[in-house]
Amino acid sequence: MERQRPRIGGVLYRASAYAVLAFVLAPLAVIVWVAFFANPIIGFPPTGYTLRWFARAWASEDFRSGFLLSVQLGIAAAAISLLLGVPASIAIARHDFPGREAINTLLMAPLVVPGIVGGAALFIGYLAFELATGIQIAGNLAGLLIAHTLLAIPWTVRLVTAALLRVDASIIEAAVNLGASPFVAFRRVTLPAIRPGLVAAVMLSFVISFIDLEKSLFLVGPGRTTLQIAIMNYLEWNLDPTIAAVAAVQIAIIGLALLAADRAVGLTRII
Amino acid sequence: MAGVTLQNVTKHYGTSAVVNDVSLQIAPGEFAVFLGPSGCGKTTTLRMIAGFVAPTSGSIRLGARDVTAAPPHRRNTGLVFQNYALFPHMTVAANVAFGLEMRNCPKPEIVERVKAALLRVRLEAFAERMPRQLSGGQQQRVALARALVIEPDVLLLDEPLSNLDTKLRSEMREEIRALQQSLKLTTILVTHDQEEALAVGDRLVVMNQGRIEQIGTPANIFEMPRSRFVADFTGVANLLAGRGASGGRFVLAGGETVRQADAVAGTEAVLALRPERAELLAAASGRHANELPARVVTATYLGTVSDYRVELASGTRLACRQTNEPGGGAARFAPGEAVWIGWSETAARLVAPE
Amino acid sequence: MAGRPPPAQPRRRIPGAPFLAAPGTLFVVLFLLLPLCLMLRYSFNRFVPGDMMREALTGANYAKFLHDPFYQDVLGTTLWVSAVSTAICVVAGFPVAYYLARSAGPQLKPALMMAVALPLLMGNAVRSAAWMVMLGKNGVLAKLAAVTGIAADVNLMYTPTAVIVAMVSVLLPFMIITVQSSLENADRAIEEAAASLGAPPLRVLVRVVLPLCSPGLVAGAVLCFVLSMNAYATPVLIGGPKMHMMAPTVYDEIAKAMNWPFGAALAFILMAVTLILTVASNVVAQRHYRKWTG
Ligand SMILES: Nc1ncnc2c1ncn2[C@@H]1O[C@H](COP(=O)(O)OP(=O)(O)OP(=O)(O)O)[C@@H](O)[C@H]1O
Ligand SMILES: [Mg+2]
Repeated sequence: MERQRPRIGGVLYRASAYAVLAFVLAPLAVIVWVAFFANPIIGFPPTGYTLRWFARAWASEDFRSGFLLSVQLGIAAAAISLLLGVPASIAIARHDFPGREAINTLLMAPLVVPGIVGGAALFIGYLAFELATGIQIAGNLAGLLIAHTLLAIPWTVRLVTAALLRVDASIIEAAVNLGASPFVAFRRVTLPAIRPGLVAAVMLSFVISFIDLEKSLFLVGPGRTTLQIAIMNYLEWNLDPTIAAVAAVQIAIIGLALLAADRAVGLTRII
Repeated sequence: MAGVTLQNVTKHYGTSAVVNDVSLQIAPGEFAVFLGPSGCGKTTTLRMIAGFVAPTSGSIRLGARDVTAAPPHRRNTGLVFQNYALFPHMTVAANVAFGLEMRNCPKPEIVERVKAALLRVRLEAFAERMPRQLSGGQQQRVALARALVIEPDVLLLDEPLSNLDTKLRSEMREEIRALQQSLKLTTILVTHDQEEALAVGDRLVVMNQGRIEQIGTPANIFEMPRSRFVADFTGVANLLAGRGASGGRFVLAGGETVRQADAVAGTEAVLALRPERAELLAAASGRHANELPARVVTATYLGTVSDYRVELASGTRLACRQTNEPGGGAARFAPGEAVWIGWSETAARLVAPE
Repeated sequence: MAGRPPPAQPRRRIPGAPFLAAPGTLFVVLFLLLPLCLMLRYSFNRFVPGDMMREALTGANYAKFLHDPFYQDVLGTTLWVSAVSTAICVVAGFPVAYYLARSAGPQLKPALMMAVALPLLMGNAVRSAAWMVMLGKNGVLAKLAAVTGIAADVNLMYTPTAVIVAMVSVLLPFMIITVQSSLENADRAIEEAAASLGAPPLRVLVRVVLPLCSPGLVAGAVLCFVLSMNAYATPVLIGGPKMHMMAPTVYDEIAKAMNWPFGAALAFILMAVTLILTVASNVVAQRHYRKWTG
């Protein structure tokens, strides 16, 4: 209402909205800023700017291997959750069967159980399994991958189910009516229609796996830590521009993944 | 009771003028209808009157009060929305009471007036229902009662009937008209349905692309459209370009010369002829000032009437609607048949070309 | 965000269809449900220092929680930090949600949505690092306080306030998005109807907007509460060694003290308390708005 007197309440409301947004974003902005500080001990204002902390971070064995492990885990978890989640989504979105609601609830359960508790339970389970069979899972890659896949499954199922439900059933019937077998109809009609949902599922699965801390805590072993745990361990003793550089890189990576997912389906459908 | 005055009201969104220099005066107690195609700015104009959109320039007065800068809650307008916008978390009675509460009306008076308002829309039995337990027509009547109970200076209705089925629509139309008459309420209704506009309005405001094309009584708009647009929008199917000649004659673009009472020599114009004002004849009769030979292209039987499309020798096509003979059983003329089309020199009107 | 069941329109009954869901379901059963059951069972075992645990069926671990004021303090701290954080989120999140849903223009809105979503997916370690930079003794706020002469030598780290501040920043995006989507679903015309009936903005807010988005507010609050009850990184890094909350304590018992039975019991106490509180608040809320949300 451009021409009306700006009301005091309206001004206050807008100001508070922006203040809250600033509160949420400020720490991230500050840590990115700090990553470029020249002074080796964090202090304001900076004495100058440099890029060397990024090199330092990459030179650190913990961060580099943590980063690589997290990337591998994220990709693998996204892939496996797609393999497990897409068929499940098809069953849930397209078919009616007894226990459908229960299965859906079960597939969402990893979202509800606290990360620490789920991680602890998995850790205990692994050790019990090792005791019984002698096969070790805890502390190695398989153990972590299982945990991260578990994190990704609910998101994959949710996004893919939603994408499937948006596909008009009659276009599939049209394809079948025109002579396509159910498989061909899926590949030629359904799959292209849900591709954005799949892209979003992969992106989000990757990010959720990449940023996980709690669930991995019990499962990492010596020489095999994820980036988040490397950050956590480092933070217990240090707070310096190197860790800021690591944070800045992570913020950039997640920002890009988010942008990609937004391009694919639009943010509002993801979250 | 107050009238509504719009003075040079303009609304820009970005660079496009959605409402362009609209000036209009609606008398106290008058029922005005904004009529126009989708996107012509009817809703925007209405919302400027209600205070939800601030005009880019111009002024709005309710009675003597300049409300151009007043916020919506200080305007005392009764607004009825297309989708009713009832408060889903309040009972029907609470919905109707809301405006009175905002006016700090004493409790007993609120109860009285809510009861009276519900009685007026025949929903007294539904006072304690929740809105979602009502049918579309009932919800519409609650919305109406809610807007009326505050005794607004002006009642604003934005396509209030478009969500109702055909039968309910004409019932509600009459109901709204009757209420407006009995309360002598200044009312503005927005619609793109010309039949609805003709049925309820004292005065029609035909809008196009943010401008007022013509203002007049229903009969005035229907019989004497001033522009090609108004003629087209009010159902004139035959719009034939041509040029006036001397002696009340008009030369169509196809070359035919017809008699047309209001033709002005040398002026480009469009001949607007309603399909039902022309007659199809098996042979020339001499009863009409204009009778031209034609050939039937299509014939559509519609029960009471039949619609024909005929083609003149020049290739000009005309639409023509004829009442069917009782017991005739089908359209009187068949496609391909040679016929004559006739109309009087006052049956058509000349309107300005675009 | 929480696992709402999808509004599915199942069309056909095909005998083989459930098998499509089998691998995923099996995976979750095997790696979530089964381990949880095992952990539940372990919570009734007996802990023997040096020997890990003995097979038993005892309530001793739960009794220990009830008798040891230290652990009750841990739960108490967790509860009040969560409650305060949630309350702040409700109050602070609403204006942003309303701004996003109603006021932000078509160009601004996607950018702001991104600005809300980015912190949501930033990861707790990085966000904690960011807050350490803000709150530490060489941090931004300390510097600001010194420069403006409010106080010299402030160190906000390792205080409950710091934990709540950091926690609120973690939770706010969840709150904002939940409330925003419930506002998007409420017809804006309803607010306009209230205004046209004479309600000034504040009364529109109280009488119409807040009731209409109360399901969203409740859902957002429950989500924030659950997340802060389960928080790990923020209490550990920002709260420091003297601030004890449930999730870190569970970790310490299981991973450091190797007291699995008690750690498991703590985990189930945490989940049970959270569950009871969220179910209770949902029941209360449902009763209020069942009438009008069909
Ligand atoms: N907030 C806005 N921002 C930009 N353009 C707008 C806005 N509101 C309306 N418009 C544009 O203004 C024009 C007129 O809109 P308006 O709603 O007044 O039309 P209308 O005559 O009521 O149409 P309809 O019969 O479809 O309801 C449309 O082209 C519309 O796209
Ligand atoms: Mg409109």
